[in-house]
Amino acid sequence: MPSARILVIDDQLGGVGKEGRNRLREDLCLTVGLRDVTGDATAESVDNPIAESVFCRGQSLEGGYVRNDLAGTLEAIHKGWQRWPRWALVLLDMQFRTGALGADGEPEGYASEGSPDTYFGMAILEELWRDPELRDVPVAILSSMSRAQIEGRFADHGVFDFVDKNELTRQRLEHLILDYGLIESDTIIGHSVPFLKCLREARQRAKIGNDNILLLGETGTGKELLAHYVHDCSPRRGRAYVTVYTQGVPETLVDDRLFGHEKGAYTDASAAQPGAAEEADQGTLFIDEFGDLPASIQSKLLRLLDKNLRESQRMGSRAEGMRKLDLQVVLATNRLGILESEDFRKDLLFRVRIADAIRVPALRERREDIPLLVEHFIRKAERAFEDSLGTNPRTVSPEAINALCGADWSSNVRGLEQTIESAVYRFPKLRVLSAGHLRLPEGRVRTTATPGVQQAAGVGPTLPSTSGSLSELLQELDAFDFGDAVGRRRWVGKLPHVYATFASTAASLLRAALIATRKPTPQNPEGELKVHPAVKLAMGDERLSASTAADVIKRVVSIDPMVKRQLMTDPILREAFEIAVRLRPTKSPAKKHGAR
Amino acid sequence: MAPDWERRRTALNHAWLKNEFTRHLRAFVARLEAPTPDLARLEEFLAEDWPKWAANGPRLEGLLASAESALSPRQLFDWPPLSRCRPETKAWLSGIVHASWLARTSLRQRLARVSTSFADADRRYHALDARLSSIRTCDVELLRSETSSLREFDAAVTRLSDRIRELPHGIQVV
Repeated sequence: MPSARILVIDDQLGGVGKEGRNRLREDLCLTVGLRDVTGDATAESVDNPIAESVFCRGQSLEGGYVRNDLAGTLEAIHKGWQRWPRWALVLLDMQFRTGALGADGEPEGYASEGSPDTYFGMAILEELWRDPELRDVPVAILSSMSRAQIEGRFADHGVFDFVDKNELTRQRLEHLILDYGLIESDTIIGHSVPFLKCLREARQRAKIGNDNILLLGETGTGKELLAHYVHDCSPRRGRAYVTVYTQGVPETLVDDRLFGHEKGAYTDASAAQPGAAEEADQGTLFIDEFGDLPASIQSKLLRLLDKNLRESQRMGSRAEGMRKLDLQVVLATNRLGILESEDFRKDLLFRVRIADAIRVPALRERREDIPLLVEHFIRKAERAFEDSLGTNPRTVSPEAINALCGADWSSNVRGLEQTIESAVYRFPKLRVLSAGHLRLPEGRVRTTATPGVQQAAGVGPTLPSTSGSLSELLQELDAFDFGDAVGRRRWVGKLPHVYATFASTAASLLRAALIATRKPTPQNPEGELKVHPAVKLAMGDERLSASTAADVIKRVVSIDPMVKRQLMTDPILREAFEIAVRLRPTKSPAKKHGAR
Repeated sequence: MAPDWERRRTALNHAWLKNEFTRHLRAFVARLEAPTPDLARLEEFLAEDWPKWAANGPRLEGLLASAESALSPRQLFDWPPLSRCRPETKAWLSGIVHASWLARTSLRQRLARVSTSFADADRRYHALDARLSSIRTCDVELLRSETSSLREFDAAVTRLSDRIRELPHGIQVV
């Protein structure tokens, strides 16, 4: 099972005793296979844990009194939900004992706490349900109270399950995480909430084992990968997995591929041939571009998709030649409005349970995944390249990641992969790919990156467009418009940050160019830095003089004093700066920047 | 009286027996079965958690013994508005209310089942306790010979806890 991090909110398990231990927590972790990463207590090592867990008491202790702390609890949930690794699951206790601490160090509790109306767990649940940002947090109740008492209440609050504390075993927890948790896949890249929800839905449907599962998603969203994931998560894993592509294939060939033929069914049918449906018997049949199926195949498919029949008929066979099959069928289409279309049989759509179709999110709905996908595609392209130029491993500059995260990916993940692959192939000697090296799709959007994206990219707030060359970037800095007096006042406190970001961006462009133009020599196999060609490349100006090139380097490095110190720790930039200073020892004639 | 009884039940059954005792017991068995048992933790269980049954057992018995009087709607005659009934009315009406409540809830039969479960768990505990106290903690092999008995005791405790939980919550009039 992929790694998962769970949050346990429980008064008894959350606290820590005087010796820095919580024995109850230790024992729970040991018996259900949890690795305690809360960090507030000494944790016993657990063999082969199934998840990491953080424990939260949900209460505060002041003056010998224990009180429930709703705001603090919500903050803890929020903190672990905003960014990866986020909570795969929250296990929530219902009844929390409060009041004065007794002789045994435990709160005495109030009689009223025995009433479900006052359960603190319900108060937490209601807040989670009310907050749109936290509504997707998967919650299971972990309580030793009677389920019947509270079932009606928690059912309305998106709770997935109720687990009796006494019945929480390793196996039960594993099932909980797999069935309801938001966990990554080992085979498909992504950990944004919309994507993880899609994976969860796929696992839940796959568990049935003989369902017809429709995947609806725009082109390039990864439906084929998801279909295989369904197969891997189903009881049919390890058995046959057969794919049928239908787009652009003539009607008779689709029929032949899907259902096969008998000998003599048509002129060239010299021998009987089973179709994909038969080949997938006991396993999974995946029909790609299901929305493109011609009408004649649609009617033939009805019997195969009827779970009570599951029959397949080869071309040229008689009615009694129907073959009974046992399989799971996954179908995919990018025709999101297929239900409204006139050219598709409605009975077939109902048979594939179109209302329960799994929506595969578009890349614009899961921008948080872009940095992760970029990293994956770079490594993939490098493997294909076999590093004949010794450039591996490459990185992508933070500003390029920002540009990628803000782009309009109507071509989805496939488009992103092509962009990265193209950049790696076009600039085989660059170790750092900058925004200028990427062919971003038309209609770029300038959205502020989500917190998850910013964290993943390791960058601050998004600046104005910086996807051009170093020359464009410096022009942009020169022309930076702070607006009227009011606007200037508004920007004043932020100027250092603006300069710092410009400086980092410009320096990373320059650094990439310096690496790209390095000339290996027998004395220096790494390559000697060539300042002039590097700046010409970065500025996109072949006529640039050597002295101007030196000035540009001095200027870029000196835009911001704080950043300069940081840039000087980079050996490449430091060497380039020293060369530039030797070439142009006088003060740089570069413009002084500031508010206009 | 019911609120106090409810609080005692929560502390004894919910907080101690179910959440603590059984979890410690299971962890003890798990540690015992580990390739290299943590002797200090085994010792800790035997010294701190195991004896708590002996202390809390009588409290559990007391809880069960007081259940009928604590949960009976007869107590409603002690508080307004029923406390304003004439004493002679109260005398016969409270008796009828109690009798009909007993019949409707089958409380005595349920309490009898809980008591049977308690007796079963308590008997297993004392039998195990006698054997465990004669085994030195470091003798893991001997302790391991008791794992199946410990598991049976765990099952008996779980049954008891579930039955206590199934008793009525608060005074039920209807």
